[in-house]
Amino acid sequence: MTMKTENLLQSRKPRSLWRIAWKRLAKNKLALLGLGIVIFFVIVAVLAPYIAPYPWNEVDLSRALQPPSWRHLLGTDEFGRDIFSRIIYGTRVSLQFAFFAQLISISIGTVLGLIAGFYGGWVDDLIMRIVEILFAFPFLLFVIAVVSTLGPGIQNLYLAVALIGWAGVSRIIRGQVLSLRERDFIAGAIAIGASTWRILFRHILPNALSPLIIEATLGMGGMIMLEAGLSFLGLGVQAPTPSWGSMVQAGLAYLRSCWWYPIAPGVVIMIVVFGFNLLGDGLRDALDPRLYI
Amino acid sequence: MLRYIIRRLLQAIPVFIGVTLITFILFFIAPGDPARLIAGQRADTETLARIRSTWGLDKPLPIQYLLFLGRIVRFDFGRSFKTNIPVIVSIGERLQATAILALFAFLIAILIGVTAGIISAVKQYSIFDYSAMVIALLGVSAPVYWVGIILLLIFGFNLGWLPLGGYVTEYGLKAVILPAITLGTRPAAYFARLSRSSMLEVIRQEYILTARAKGVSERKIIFKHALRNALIPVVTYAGMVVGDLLTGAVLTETIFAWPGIGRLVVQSIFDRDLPVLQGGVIVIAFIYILANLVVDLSYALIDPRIRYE
Repeated sequence: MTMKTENLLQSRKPRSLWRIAWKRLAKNKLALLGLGIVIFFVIVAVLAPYIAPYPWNEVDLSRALQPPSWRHLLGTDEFGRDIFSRIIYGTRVSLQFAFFAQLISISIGTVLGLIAGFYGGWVDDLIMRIVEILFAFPFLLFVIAVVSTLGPGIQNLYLAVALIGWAGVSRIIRGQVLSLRERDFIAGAIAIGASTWRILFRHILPNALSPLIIEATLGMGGMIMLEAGLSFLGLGVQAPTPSWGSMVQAGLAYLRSCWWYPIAPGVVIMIVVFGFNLLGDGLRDALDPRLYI
Repeated sequence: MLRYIIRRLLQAIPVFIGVTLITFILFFIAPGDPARLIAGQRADTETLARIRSTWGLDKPLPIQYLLFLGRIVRFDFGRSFKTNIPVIVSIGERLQATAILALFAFLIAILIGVTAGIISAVKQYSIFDYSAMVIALLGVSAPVYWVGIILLLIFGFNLGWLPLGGYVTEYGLKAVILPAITLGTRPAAYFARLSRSSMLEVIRQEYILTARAKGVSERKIIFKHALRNALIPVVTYAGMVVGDLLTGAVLTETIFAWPGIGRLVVQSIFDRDLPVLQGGVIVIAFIYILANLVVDLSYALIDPRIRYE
């Protein structure tokens, strides 16, 4: 071996899966745009009270339904509240719901998927039959059914998501477990007497993280749409809390005279979901092991 | 093939039963007295007792479920509290409207989506490809009802070309254009993305290379050799599209005052019309299961590998 190749080998940094994935992601301009959009909206959500020019609930009936101006960038709603400020606060409501709803779905789905895949037999059969039944309901319809029976509001929205949202995740994790279970390192872990939970969470789960991260990111967009859709129908976030979906609904009545009122919150929904979708797509390309050559 | 069909049909039965069970649990074990939910808050004890006995609410839960299942099998969802019309009759009327809307939306989605996807694949990395895919991703990201509002604003209010809402009986086929485009946007975007990636995979295969080497024209390669195989995943996706169309219909019909089953369900929520809500949910879920069944079966017809598994 010559000096040159030796130096080259020594200078080469360790290439973990995550490093390779990050490099791939950094090369993907659209994915970076998605990441930028997501970070931007997270900052807006966190700093909402400092960014918003007006409080979200400041009513001024004398200034109702004003057109956009320097004073009110996106005009005012029927109660004279600043639409721009309400959209900024709406970011909080929307992202918070999407984050926790995803956290609930993914936690339940991961645990059930791990159990189904690892134990197999009747446990697997039972869980997968339930998943199949839940898949028979269109998601939005199921949530509508739950919320309309239990009453509108964000808590029941969470409950509906907890009841059905995990199905897709559990199927993905189960598939991962099934393929990982047969691998030598799992046989090794079993041989040295590792406990089942240790095998599941320490050995199998870290190896199943890629599809989980992709699903979590793409699912954020879906959850934002869900909350906005339900709020649009009047079944989600209740007035006066600002939600993009309920703002579109409220603005619909003034479509002819103040078209910006229902359109603006919709634009924001589209941009945020677009951001999460771009990022999710990019992550899929970056994390897909089939692409490693 | 027959064995596959029978097996697949048998597999659907537990799912059907599961759907009814979940709906039952949702509506009957929900907090509060179901009899009061049915009769309204101000009902007197006599009415409540009558409702309990007619709905079998005084019986043990498993028996109640079997009674419920028995009614559903006979398509008996009870009568609407508001109009007193049998629920199945109103659902039947409304289904037709939703079917018309969904059919047009589906056609638009296939036509625009698949065409854009194929052109994108054939001209990969071209300006068309980039813009089509960004538009498709925006289409997936835009809320259905918001797309509807924009279309209403432009073509309804500003240009006045198309009606603001209403049904075909009033305005003819003009009435279906905006709702169908609204409902078809998301599926079109999905179809575009799917057919692009599927086409790209196919045109990289060796038999395409062979065809090229033989000197077959590019046109013939795309349409005769590649397209057929590329469309197989698109067919499987068609089943999921039905779900998208049904949920999208709930929102689209609300915007355009389209007298379909989606609007019926939403209206029943605000009217607290439990039988209609319940019937609507079950019927929509059943349609969804059926659609997936049909897709699975047609998939087996197209691709023999599936049925010999």
